[in-house]
Parts: sequence; structure tokens; C-alpha cells
Amino acid sequence: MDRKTIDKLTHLSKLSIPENDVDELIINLENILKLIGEIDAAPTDGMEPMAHPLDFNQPLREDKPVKDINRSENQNDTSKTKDGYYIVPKIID
Amino acid sequence: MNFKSVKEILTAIKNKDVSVIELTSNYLDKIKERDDELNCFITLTEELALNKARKIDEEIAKNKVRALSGLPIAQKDIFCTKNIKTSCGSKMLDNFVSPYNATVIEKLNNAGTIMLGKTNMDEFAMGSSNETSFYGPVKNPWDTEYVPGGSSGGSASAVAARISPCSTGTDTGGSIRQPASLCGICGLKPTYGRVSRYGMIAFASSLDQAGIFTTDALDAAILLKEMSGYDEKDSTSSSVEVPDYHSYCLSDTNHKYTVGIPEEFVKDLNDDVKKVFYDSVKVLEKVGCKIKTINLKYTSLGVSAYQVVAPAECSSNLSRFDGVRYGHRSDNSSDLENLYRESRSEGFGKEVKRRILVGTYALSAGYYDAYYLKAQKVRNLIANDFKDAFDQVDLIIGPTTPDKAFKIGEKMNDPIAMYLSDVYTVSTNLAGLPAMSIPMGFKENMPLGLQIIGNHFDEKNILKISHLYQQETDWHKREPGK
Repeated sequence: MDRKTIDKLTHLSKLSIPENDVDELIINLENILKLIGEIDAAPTDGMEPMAHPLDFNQPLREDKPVKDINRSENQNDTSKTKDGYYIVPKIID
Repeated sequence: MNFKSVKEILTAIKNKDVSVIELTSNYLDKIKERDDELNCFITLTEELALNKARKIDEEIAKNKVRALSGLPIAQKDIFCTKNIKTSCGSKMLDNFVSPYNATVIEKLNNAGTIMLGKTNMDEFAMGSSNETSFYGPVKNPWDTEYVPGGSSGGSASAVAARISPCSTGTDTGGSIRQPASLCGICGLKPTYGRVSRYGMIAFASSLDQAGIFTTDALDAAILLKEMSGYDEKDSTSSSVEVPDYHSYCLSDTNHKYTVGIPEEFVKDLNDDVKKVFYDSVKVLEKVGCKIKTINLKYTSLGVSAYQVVAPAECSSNLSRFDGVRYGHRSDNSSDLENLYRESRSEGFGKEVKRRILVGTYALSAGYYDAYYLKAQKVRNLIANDFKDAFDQVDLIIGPTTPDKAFKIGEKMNDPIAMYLSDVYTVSTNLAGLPAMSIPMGFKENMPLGLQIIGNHFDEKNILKISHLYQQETDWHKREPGK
């Protein structure tokens, strides 16, 4: 774990870390990687990866429209809307 | 007014020995008296509670009684509540008012409960001490210098302090059982899929499960029935039939449980916790249980696998917080990339950022196979371990936590020590199993919990054995300061 990796991860996850927290973060992430690295030695040859704890079938609902929350109610949590659209900084010059 | 259980409250309301408005006001007064010190609540929903209490009183007068009519309850602030702030313990959602109810909230509302407020929690449920909350740490009512555990610390502390008779929680790696243990109450994490996750703000979707805090097992049985069941809004909820847990606990069926103690759960215990644990084993033997030593040989890999799977899912789930549609929006952004970055950087706390970064690392090109795929295979090893164990025993027990509660601030700068406090709880989430922590004694005047793990959808036998244990002991009746 080094500064370059931190920069890559913060870019991918759209986060920024204050400069004076970076050294502490590198130490913590190194310790966490050491902890999770313990799975390396586990005997997993032939073992299927388990993404979900139960053997479910995906239930499908009937293919017909349902009434859900309306748009204006959904947009109450931000004042940055206009005509039902969200306002963001200009993307194209 | 001093009711000892949910059952007592429901009986008193039904018999009209107490009005719901009196009862609700009484609990609200208790909260106002204690919560400046304990910090259990983020939002108190007083007006709403009193209005609902009046409505339920009118129904009772007309002899209309619902399953949980008039029962006050505290709801973890991870559940979306319509027109009420739902913060998830984060600055990111400090301004968020949900436009809909979580299914858990809807079901409990329809059953007649009165929501007293929304409880404090670790930010986005990421923590084991309730110290990562944007709203400050919750205190343990047994000693306010100590943490209540986390992430559902506010819910656990409120029930332990008797300022709410019951509360909801969520458990991704121990977030119900660990605080229940450290606060000396009962905390039940049901089987994955038993309770709908709709409207429960997601941390790690393949591990998260909603559950409850109560003072005894019978109360948990009453509440679990009302919360459980298939929900068409959650495709991972289960259609397995929901039994009447309460009747089952009280039934005469003379169960002679075979109970397994994994060697891996007890080999590193300190002498004090070991003694308390083996005293509780004697009680189980007294009620007819046969004790058998078993092995869960991959227990030590549980925390490591969990610390890959949970952050990976968290980094994906929390990508929805972009500052655009809801939640915190930065004022310091000149372009869209900056809006995302600054909103997220200002809105998330240190631990949440750390987990997002770990998850992003584990899922990134070149590391996916070594970390995420490998962890999913280890998850299968752990699940198979449990499967083999349940071929030999009915239930598995152990201490819920390696030790009593720790002091506020003690582990905040040591994430590894914090993660390892979940060593006995994370494996059950990885395997999707139900488990419950019940009080089993004290170490230096701080409570300790006994964890009981069952097979998938076998909550009824976890509750029954807990009830049998609680008929022989009074640990669950002990109250802080008394």
C-alpha cells in the first residue's frame, strides 16, 4: 500500500482523503490487508464461490406496471431540481 | 409504571389496566430523563407517538385489538420511515426524509406498535462500538464510560436502560448480538431472508438482516412473528412459513437438545468469561440438554473473509450516494466529478471511507481473484463447517463476545482490534444462519452474552432453549443501577 495506490482507490471510489490523514490511512489499510490476507492459506481448491447464503430461486412478479412513489415525492430530498430533472454542474461546454 | 416485559405491556393494554397514551407518555418521559446522558436517540417522534397512542386507545375502547396494540418501540435509524428523518447515523443523510416506509416499519406499524423514535447507530452500521455515529457515541447504561457495542448501540442501550421495552436492529456481522451481549439484553438475528430488507439502508446486501432487542426470549418470539415473512418488494426474502414462535416456546414438547460447543469458540477465552460461560452450560444441562464438543475449524478465517465480502458489497452499495438526488450535497464543487467527490468526502466519516477503499481494492482489476473470489470460497468453507456441525447437533453455543464491553475511545484508533471483537458473530452472517445473544452473567459488573446459533429458519428452537434457560436464571431480569 502506497500513495499511488491510495490515489487510484480514491479516484475509483470518488473520495478524497485529507493530506494529513494519508499516512495513518496507509498504515491502517496495510494492517487490514494483512488480516484479510490470512484467507490465502485456506484450502479452497474445488470450492465454489458463495455469493449468497441461501439457495433461492429468483421470484418474478407479473409483468404489469405498478404504481410506485411519485416523482415529486421522490425529489423532495433536494432543492436542486427543475421540471422534474436534477440540476448538476454543467457537463458539456 | 414499571412493566417488565412486552408480554406484560400487551396484557395490561388488552385488559385496559393502562391506557396507551399513559404508557407512551411514560416512556417518552423516561427517554427525556435519561437520553441526554445515554444518547440512544437521533430523533424522538413524540407527536407522532402520542397521536398514534390516542388512535390505538380509541380502537381498544371498541375492542379492536391488534397483535401488538399500543406497544412502544424504538426503531433503528437505518429503517426508512415515511416523512421522518432517516439518517443511518451519517452526515450524508442528516437531511434525508424518507418518502416511504421500510417493510419492517410498515409491518410493526400495522401490528399496532407506537414508534418512540429513531435510535443512534454506527455510521451506515459500520462499527462495533457506536462511536462512528455522526451524532456522537452512545453510552452503555451499565457504566457510561463504556461502549454499548454496535452497530445497533442506541437500540440496545435503550432497552437495557428500560427507556424502551423493545427495539429493532440490524446485524451484518454481529450488530445485534454484540451490543445485546455488552448491554445485558436479548438480541436476535434471524436467518438471512426471514425478515424483509426493503427500506433497510443497505451495507452488505448478502449479509444484512433485521432483528430485535428485548429483555427476554418470549418477547423476542412475539415480535419476530410480526416482523417476518415473504415480501414481494425484497426478492431475497423467504416464503418459508412463519411459525407461532411464542406458542412453540410455551408448548409442552419435551425437547432434549443436543448442543454443540465449538472448541474454537472457547480455546482462547479469558478465565472470567470462561467461568461464566461454563456456568451457563451447567444450566443447559440441568434443563435436559446434552452437550457435545464440536469443531468449526474455519472460525479463525471468519473475520478475514468478512472483511473482504462486507467492504466489497459496501463499496458497491454506497456508490449511490452522489450528492445529486438526496443526501449531503457539497457547496464546493465546480464540475460534476468534483460534486461527487466533495459530497462523498464531506458526507462520509473515517470508518465508512476506510471500508469503501478496502472494498474498492478487493474488487479492482488484478486483485479480484485473490481477495473477493477467494473470500467467497472461504465463505463456502465456513458454511459447510456449520452444515457438518448441524448433522451432529441441534444448536451451537458459545460466548457472544470474547470479553465484556470496552471503554469509549479504547479501540477507536485500532480498527483490527475493533474488527476482532466480532470474531464469534461474523461466521453466522457469512452462512446466513439465525443466532441470538442472551444474558449469561457478569464480569466486573459488566454483562456478558451467551450466543445460541441455529440451523436455517430454526429460530423457534433458539427461542425455546433461551426460554428454558431464562426459567432457570435471572440474568435477563437484572437492570443497570439496581
